[in-house]
Amino acid sequence: MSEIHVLVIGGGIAGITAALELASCGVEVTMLEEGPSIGGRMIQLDKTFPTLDCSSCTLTPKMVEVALNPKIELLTLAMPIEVLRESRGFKVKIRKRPRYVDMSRCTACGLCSDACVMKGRIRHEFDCNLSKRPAIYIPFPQAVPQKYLIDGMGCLFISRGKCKKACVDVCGPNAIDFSQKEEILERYYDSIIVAPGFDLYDPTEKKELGYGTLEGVLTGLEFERLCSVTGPTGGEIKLNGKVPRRFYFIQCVGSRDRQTGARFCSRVCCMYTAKHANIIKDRIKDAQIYISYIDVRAYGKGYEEFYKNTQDAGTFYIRGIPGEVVQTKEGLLVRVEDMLSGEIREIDTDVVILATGVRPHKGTEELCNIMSLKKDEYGFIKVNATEPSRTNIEGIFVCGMASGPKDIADTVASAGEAVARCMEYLKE
Amino acid sequence: MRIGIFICHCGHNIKSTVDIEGLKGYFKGLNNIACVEDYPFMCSEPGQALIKSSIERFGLGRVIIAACTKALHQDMFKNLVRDAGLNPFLLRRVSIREHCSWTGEDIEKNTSKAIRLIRAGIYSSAHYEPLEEKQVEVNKSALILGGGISGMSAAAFLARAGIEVYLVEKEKELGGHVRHLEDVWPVRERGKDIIERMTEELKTLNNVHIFTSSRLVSFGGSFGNYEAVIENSGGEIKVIVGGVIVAIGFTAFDPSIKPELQYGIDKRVITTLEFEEKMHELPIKEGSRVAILHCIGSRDEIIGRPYCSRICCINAIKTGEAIKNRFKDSYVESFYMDVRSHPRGGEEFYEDTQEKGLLFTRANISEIIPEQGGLVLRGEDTLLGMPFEREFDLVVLSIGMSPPKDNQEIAGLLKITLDKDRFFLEAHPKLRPYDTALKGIFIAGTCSGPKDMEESINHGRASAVKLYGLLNLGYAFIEPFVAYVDPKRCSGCRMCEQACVAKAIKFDEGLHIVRVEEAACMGCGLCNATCPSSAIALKGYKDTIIDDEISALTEAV
Repeated sequence: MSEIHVLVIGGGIAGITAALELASCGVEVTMLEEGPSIGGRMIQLDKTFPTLDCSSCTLTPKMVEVALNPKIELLTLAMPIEVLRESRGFKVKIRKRPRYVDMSRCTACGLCSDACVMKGRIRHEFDCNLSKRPAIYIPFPQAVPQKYLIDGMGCLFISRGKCKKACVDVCGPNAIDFSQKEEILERYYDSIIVAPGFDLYDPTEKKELGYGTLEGVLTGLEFERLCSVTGPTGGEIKLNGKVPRRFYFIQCVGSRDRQTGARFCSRVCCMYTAKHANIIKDRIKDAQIYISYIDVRAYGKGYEEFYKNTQDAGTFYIRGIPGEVVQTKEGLLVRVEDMLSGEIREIDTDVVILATGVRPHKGTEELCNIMSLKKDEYGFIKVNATEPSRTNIEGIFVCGMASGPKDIADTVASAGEAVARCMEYLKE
Repeated sequence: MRIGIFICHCGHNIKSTVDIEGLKGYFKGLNNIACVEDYPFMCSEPGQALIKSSIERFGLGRVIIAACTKALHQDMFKNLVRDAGLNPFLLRRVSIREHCSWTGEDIEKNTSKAIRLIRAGIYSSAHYEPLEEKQVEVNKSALILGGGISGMSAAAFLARAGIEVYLVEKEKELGGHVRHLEDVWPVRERGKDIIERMTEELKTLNNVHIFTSSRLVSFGGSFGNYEAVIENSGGEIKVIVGGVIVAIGFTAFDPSIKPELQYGIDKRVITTLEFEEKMHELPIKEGSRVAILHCIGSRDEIIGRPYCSRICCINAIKTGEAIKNRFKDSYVESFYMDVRSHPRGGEEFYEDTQEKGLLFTRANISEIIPEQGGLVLRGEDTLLGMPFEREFDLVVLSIGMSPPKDNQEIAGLLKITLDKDRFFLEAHPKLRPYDTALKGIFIAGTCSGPKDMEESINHGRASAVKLYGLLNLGYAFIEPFVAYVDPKRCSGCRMCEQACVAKAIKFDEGLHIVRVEEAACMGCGLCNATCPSSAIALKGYKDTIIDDEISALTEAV
């Protein structure tokens, strides 16, 4: 089957699983990742529920496998811009953004990052903007590929044409190449698996919860970066240099909520919140933790037990979503109606963490447009429960969160299913 | 001998409770230690590059990786060592995470334990020998146990991919539980129709051999060449298969073990499955009062079912909807702990059904009291904090999933493991959710834990892809840990021959000693333990390796 070539769009855990399975079935794979490294959302996480093993420990070896597998071609900073049916396959135009670093020369020594005049001045997306990075950087130490890149917007030389270019001076192998231009590649693929993943709901519009206006109100993913050893604090849970003691979690922010246009359940927030509570209890022994919920959806294998252990370890669950979060002299105050006691409670806290729900990845709409894929009412790619990866276009399959919220185990299984359908299509 | 030690921080996991610098300092400069390195994640690309370059730079003869357990990433590290030009069997993994940093928080004690563990690795690996993996032929055939939706999905994929498939189902017909569902949510189709469509599809594929009313009676061999004996009324059939997918499903929870629910005693108490089957025969009409109880046989530690069964909330909502659709003026009340309508479209279904008039009450139900006029439900409304008693004409129990009945038997035959709830145990709950510890043996669908139909289909096909990936080359490499005989020591007592479960030991009448058939040897070591003259041993696990490992562990540091 060596002449068969499949395109996998997206380098998160769904795309990685799909690419590796396809390669093991003898298929040639091209993986497109729009960012500078593969790893997706999962690599941003500190730990995963319910086993609490670290995300990096389970995912980085798979990322390395993608990089080393001779059947997989990895293109980063790359996205499809046109997909046309040609016989049973597809003619695909791919836009590859410049990295401004010659991948064949860069040794990832990091001297350029230290030399960059913009060092510590540009918001770092991988850390949810909680840290600052230089213009030439690697998104995280275990990135795949292990190559630096220059962010064209942040780089003074590229954006304004004026810089002393200290990076060029320190780069031993002369890897920095400002002359790189955007490239358009044209390829033919026999089938496509799309796995663009997800974004998280931006809670700024929920003014009553204070996100973006009150100090100490964070999203779950931001908190995840604070816990992570590759994060801005090296994994110490600290805000403005201080270790907080009181934590308040609010679930279903942007899920099960008509006002935000999302009636659906995001499937992961109950458990990632319980996980956060566990991480805090592990690192801050005297922490006080409250979790506000509507229903606790601990449905997966080992999840109910994990939820129970979280409660037993001293985390308080309150049924009811707070009406508001306000600033006080000592920190924050959460007002919530406890539906079990029927009382209005006021709880002082240092940090409020919003368990924000899942949304289709921002690029999904454009992908659907160029491939004529049908979406559901929320913008997830439309599928059917008996053929969970089949899209409305023959030969294009979907997996992971792109077709609706899933946890990691379900994402992995859905990627396997997409590969099965894809292989069947190729053999028809 | 030049030894390299590579210490992984594993993010926080090791670094937070082991003094990495202290560890490095202890080993640096000791005899034969050529280098001691550390890195936050040894398994990442820079970590691997560090190991590879050190092997080349220092000409290492042994590589000690002190990190997570050997059960993780072993193939990856072996390939890395091989790529660097060193025999992969000269690699030694030392678990300073599972066996050390995770077990306690005392940094001093952990560090001293880590030193011992690494020393044990050094002492034992000194006796390692370069070994070669054996290439074996692999049969392009698969045994699938269980003909439910998961097993059928797996069979369809494998057969299309050109694998010979033996599909074994203990019931008279294929389809498992789905066949008996009147209304499958969310596709809103009869289960029978879905199953018949899939059965037709399987019948068009001439490399699928379907055995109904059949069961597995014996199983042996190794990856690529497993031997299975299937038994049915026609007798026994022996098949050789490359791999196996276990998809034997679940057993519906039997609520009669909870006598307070009156199930099996009072006919007005039925399960959701029974409701599906005889919806139209039930004594309900306009004005009838029906109660639906969630979490029957789930989230219940007292009866040994602490887990959530994942599908029963949707089943309960579906039941309520069916009654409301037929009898608009019926009174239907659902009693729940948490409503877990998480599947795609589930939350919307839950909301829409509430709008149709289905009532949801968060409650604990303590008992059902049968009265002449109706069934009295006694419980506590957990939102109001008030006890209540309400009368109903019918009670539907939304039952959960219990482990499959044949779990113990299949686990025994295949030598795979059950988890604490007696479902099958997966190799890794996140990234290897359908693999077992045995190569080529997979678990798919609800036999590894509750799942809905979509998830079971995903599992079936995904595990089939994995198996295909292992079989499609037609050959595989197997580990060289087989027994070997020292002919000078062997006295020909043949005790090892009796101990060998794989029947790999043959007696040579002429020389009066035994020899090992390497292809059949499973490397279990039983012969090694039995031999009175230490004449038979396992490659890679010689006595000197074990002895010196123990010495190092017990020696004063």
